[in-house]
Amino acid sequence: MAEVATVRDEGERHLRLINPKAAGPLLVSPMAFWMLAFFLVPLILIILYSVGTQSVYQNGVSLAFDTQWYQQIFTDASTRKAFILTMQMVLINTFGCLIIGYPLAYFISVKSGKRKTLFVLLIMLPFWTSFLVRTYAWITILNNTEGGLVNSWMMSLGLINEPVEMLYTNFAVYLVLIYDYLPFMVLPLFVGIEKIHKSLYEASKDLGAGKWTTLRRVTIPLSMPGIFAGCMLVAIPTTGEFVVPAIIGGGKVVLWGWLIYQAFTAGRNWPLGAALSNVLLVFMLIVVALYLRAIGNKDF
Amino acid sequence: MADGTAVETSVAPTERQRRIHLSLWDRLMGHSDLGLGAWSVLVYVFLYMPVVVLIVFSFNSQKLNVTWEGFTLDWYAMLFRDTAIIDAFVTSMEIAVISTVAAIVIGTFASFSLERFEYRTKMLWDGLNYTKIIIAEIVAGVSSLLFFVQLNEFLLEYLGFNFWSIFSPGYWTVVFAHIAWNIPFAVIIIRARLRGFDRAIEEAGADLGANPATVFFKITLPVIFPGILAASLLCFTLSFDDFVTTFFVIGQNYNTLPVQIWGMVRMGITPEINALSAIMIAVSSVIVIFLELKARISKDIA
Repeated sequence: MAEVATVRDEGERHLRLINPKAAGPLLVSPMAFWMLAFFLVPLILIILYSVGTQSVYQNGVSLAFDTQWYQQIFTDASTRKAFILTMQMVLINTFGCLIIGYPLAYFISVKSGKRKTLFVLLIMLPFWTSFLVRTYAWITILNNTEGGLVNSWMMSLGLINEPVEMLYTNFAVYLVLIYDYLPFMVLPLFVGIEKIHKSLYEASKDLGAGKWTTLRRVTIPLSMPGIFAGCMLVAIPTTGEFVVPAIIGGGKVVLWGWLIYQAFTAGRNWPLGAALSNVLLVFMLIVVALYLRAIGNKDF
Repeated sequence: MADGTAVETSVAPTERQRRIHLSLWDRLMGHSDLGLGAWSVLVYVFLYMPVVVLIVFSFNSQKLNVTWEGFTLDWYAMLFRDTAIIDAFVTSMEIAVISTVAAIVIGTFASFSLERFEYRTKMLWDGLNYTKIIIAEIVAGVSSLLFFVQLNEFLLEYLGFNFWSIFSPGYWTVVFAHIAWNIPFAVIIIRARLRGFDRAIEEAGADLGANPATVFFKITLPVIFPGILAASLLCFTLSFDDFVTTFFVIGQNYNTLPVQIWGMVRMGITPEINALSAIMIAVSSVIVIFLELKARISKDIA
């Protein structure tokens, strides 16, 4: 026994190139440097930048404390309108994806073998496809002229006589947001539902529960981690969305992300953009805190 | 097996139990399997219809692109003659390769560190990675832009030397930002591989006299290689397709493919973008199918 132990120790010592106490921090240091320098420091900088006093056209920052941009954000009526619309979009997009995605995620999880792999792959494929391209694809379908796909179909079926305005409306933005974010919801939902042991469904059935009762009292409660994760993955990026409002909203649907984009491009007002971005950051931190509390409480 | 015993030992629910448990909703859902299947088919149609429309119309000879006229490959030919698109494509490829290699090397080191060692700052690095992934990309984009502009000015003012302007928004700032964007994804995938790693085989190698380098290259690396491959392709795709961060930090003198597409889309629809999009979708699909066959990515995520 003792001999075996020595040989084993010797082996372990061979594996160690350096002192194990130093190895962990040493190996993580390139990543630590990179994430600090190019992620955390910029975040701190943008917070300082938004509360410093500076003229709009000058990039220099001074540390004199000034909240003028935040005052502007919170008093401006159009900004308030954008905020309300953004919250509305976030809620509709998140719950829309959840309601559309949950049955699909459940459907995939009860399949087996090659078929399941194929269905999962079909959900994952959009992840690997350019967001911009997927958003752009809707222009042909929703086009406002009689040549738009939906318009031409509806006209040939005699449902409408004149082309209906679809592009550049709130409805189009809702639709395309759900389209773009659905995979981000379905995948965590699938992972969550997949983890539920199948024997629990049988137990529920044996105890006399119908399908609805099983869904309500077994499947949904046990897939809560997946539901929370999916909601977070959809809700947070939606808050800063500006590609969809630009391409599908045509700049007519003013969301928070669009305001930030405007401030940094045509508006040339970086400090305002920084303040707008920080409001978003605070909102995201609240959502993440709620998420961590939710999964913490349930002891997942 | 478990099914058999469960059926045998369980007492069939009595009529009374049935009445208690089977509500109206339960009865409505009695035939839900059919509905579930139909719903899922509809959702898949919803997910793929726009893409199919896009690809079909990329072969449409009608310039206005809204009604089908006839089959043509003109738009593809036009695409390959468009120097602005070719340049943007080359820039995208270069940036994607550089940022993928850097992120994979940094990420592999970090994965070993986070998975196999215990130390105090671990929570911080994990936290930073997860925050980076879930944060709305626009926040990271605009803060990086501010950071690079400030850093460039700071270096000029206080050192009198700005490192050949690499921090002035342009090519290298995109590379730096993409590496930071890729690292967390690389770490998650490679770590998952390391977690399922049986360390006894490393010990066996060492016991049989292999030195640490041999153990790493002959045992550890081959085992985690599928993870590294999957992470590389994901990083490459993320970098190649990235628009938001790139748009903010790229400055005036360079264009990546997505930034080029953005400019074209803002000008109006052209069949050329359809052709370009169709190619991009086809390439991503090939990558995913390859990954599935080689590394079973769909199993790794579940």
